[in-house]
Amino acid sequence: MEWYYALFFLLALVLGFMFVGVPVALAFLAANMIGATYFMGGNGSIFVQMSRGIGQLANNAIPTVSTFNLMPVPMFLLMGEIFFHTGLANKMFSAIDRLMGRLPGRLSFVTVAGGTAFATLSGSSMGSTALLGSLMVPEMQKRGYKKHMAIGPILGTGGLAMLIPPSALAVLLATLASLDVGALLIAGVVPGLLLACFYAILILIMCLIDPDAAPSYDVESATWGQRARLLLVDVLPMISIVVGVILLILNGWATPSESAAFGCVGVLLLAVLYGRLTWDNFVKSVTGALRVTTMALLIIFGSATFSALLAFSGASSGLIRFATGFDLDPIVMLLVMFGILLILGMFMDQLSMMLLTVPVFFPLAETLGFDLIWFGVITLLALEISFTTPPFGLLLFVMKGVSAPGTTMRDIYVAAIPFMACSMLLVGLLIVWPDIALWLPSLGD
Amino acid sequence: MRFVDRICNILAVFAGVSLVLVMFAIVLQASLRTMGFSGSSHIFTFSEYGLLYIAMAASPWLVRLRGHVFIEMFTAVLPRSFAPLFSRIISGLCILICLFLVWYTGEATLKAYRFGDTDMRSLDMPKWLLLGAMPICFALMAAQFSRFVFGPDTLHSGEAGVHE
Amino acid sequence: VDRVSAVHAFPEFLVYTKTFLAMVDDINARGEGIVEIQVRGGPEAIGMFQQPQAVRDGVVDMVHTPGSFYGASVPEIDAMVAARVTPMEARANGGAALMDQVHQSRFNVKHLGWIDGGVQFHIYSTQEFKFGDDGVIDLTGVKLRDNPIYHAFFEALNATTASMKATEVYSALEKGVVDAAAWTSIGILDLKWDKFLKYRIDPKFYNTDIGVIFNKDSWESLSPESQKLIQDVVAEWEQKSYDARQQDIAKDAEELQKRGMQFVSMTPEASEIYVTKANDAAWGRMKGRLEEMGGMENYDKLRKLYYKE
Ligand code: NA
Ligand code: NA
Repeated sequence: MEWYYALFFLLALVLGFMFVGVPVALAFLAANMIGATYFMGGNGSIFVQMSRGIGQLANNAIPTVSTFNLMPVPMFLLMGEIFFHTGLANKMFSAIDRLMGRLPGRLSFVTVAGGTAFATLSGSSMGSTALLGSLMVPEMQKRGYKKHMAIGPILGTGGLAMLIPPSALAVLLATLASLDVGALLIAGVVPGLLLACFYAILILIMCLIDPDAAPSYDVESATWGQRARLLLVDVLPMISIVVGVILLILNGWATPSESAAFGCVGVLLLAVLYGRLTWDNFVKSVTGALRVTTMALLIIFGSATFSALLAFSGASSGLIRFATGFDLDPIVMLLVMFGILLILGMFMDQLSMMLLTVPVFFPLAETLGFDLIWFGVITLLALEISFTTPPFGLLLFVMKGVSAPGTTMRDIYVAAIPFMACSMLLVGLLIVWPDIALWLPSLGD
Repeated sequence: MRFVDRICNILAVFAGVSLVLVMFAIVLQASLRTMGFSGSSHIFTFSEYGLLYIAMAASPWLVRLRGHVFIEMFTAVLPRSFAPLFSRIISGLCILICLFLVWYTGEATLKAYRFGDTDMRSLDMPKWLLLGAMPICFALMAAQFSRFVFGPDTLHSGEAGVHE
Repeated sequence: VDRVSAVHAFPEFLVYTKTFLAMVDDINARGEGIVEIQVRGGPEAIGMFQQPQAVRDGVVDMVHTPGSFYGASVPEIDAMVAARVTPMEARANGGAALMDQVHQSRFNVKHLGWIDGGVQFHIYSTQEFKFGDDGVIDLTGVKLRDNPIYHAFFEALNATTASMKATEVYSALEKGVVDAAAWTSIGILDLKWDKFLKYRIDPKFYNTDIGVIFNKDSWESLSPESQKLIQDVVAEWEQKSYDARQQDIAKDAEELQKRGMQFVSMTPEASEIYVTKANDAAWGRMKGRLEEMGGMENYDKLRKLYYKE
């Protein structure tokens, strides 16, 4: 089968199943069963081919679901749920309300700051989205924030995970593309922080355009003594958990994936200390975490083999070869490569995308005269954006799982788009001023 | 159906308990390593397998709660009179998908058992123990989808984008 | 024309994959009009550890993979891991034929050859090595990155082990989650671990056991010309890749030392103890698995052919 037929066939299958309303995980699995029978079935009767293809699908699912890389997802979810259900989150955000006074959209800013910190350190976009989603969205909706003011910043900051170190994906990209790991990691810092600033500015603009989006309800003003007390009792202990997790990672006492479990136990202890932990809210927390964990894992169960099918059938490599085969202006070629990453990113996991594209894109980038570290940062940005690209970015589904009932996929898409636009703007700026990425690494030379 | 629901609930409780155990196990093992003790690298292996078992054990329960994400684009624009019937047809399709999965993942389990396949991590884990969770999960999922075909409720609400 | 589908276990940037792809090009060039091998991709097409089972079941026809990835199904693979012969010697003395035969009976695949042989492992560390009374390194308290292939050996050395994927080792070394790791004499530079690993301990132990396996039913459906061509080319590449890797070993050693890595050697007596410990762990694992699965008669044969006892 020609690559374009294979591509069309596989995409049409999964899109078709999803469009009619089959749950995303089953849509992937159904498309996989058909695709695997055709492409991985080998020789023999249709039954033999089905047995081979679908058997392969089942075997592929084992390592993609049972991997330690996914551990931050359930752990951060659990952490967020415990924070929320024990009322510790409410306590903290009420205190922040009183400390920050009347700044409109303050919880959105808190989300950007918290999201940047967590995504960055945990290195897990999904884990961080899960934590902030389960923690912030209910609190913000309770305070009358419109959905997009809560969802957008979380989706945006989730993607910073791979840009700012520590970032396992950046290390992997540097290894696959034979780049200087340290340089690529450092090159991501300024663009990552810049992107976080863009998000803050975006929120400010959204608050100005639509003051109702983040209602500026009255909060009691507090005396300095009260403020100190609020800070010490209601804010610092919670923040100390975050700081503790950071210290664990920085000191090498725990890997980022392990630290998520420490954070979880930390919040549990805190809830006990504050006398807020009851059997009832503990069960609620575990149940909440279990729901989203299961939903996300089953989608990963399905989509992993879909990635493999795109690769095995030659669909994705055909697309890459085709699109990079033209003799175009360097900037146009850059945008073509960027576009391919976005398209593949809707259906594939990031590791598979790197394995597929790096051997083609980086040599090409070199012949086009690009700085490879700079190109690496752009690649990371594309991977990050594709994670939240409607309709299939995985973070969107995680978000759907953690947000309140009645939140539709459309709400989430609408919320994601302005924050994706920020990333695009950053890509534009990187093209005009490559030094945004390259200045910091150049200091090390 | 009551009986199936009971099984699904028990499996969900198992998944929830596993989640909490995994949390404590990771903290224990990482602490031991940091303090210079060996502990057991099997803890990580079983935490990883835990994720697979959690997903398989809680998925049927989640079907009942409508917790598996789906996209309501088409179902939202269908005429009100036809939408419930269409939703039931889609739930029927989900049953069909699950039954195919039951059959072929079951076959994969038997094949792995016959060949003595193992998943090699810190220990040699018999693969059939891992694959075996799949046919059970998908069979129970099929049973749960049947409530949206024959029961009073439907899977889809037809309300995409109505809320803003 | 016979069409053959193939996948490889490692990403393309590793030298082992480059060898395989060059070998495939060689087969395709010399087999024009007879056989054509289509490489479908690497671990992104079929998961690294799923490839052996995929070739056994006929999902693909040919796979390039370390034998250890399916060592629990074909325990005899450990004879290559703990071998004291080169791939060429094993082919000349009948070891390769026996290896092929057990692959056919146990795993429904043909073992066509042992590629990129002659490459061995070292333990590398971020800190200076400590030694016990017998002169063998003492890894008590050292956090060592683990892998099923050398797990038994590391336990014997008292190390505190942490399992992780190769892709996670860089950050783990950076943060001090682990302070040591084993890897082959070549490839540390590709992975950039030399930024943290500053000491290497000699002697080397074990061998890479990368091979090409071929689904038996697919093999039997090939024309005799195709079979002969593929088998001959793979056998040629055993020698060719062996020679190329010997050069890489010298080159990488020079570069590592230039970048400041210290090569530390144990005394000959201690080296003997150390290497024997490693080899005993591998042969012991093979024996344990054979006792469960049957086929003990191969143990002594393989020991004679691969270990030259
Ligand atoms: Na990060
Ligand atoms: Na994606």
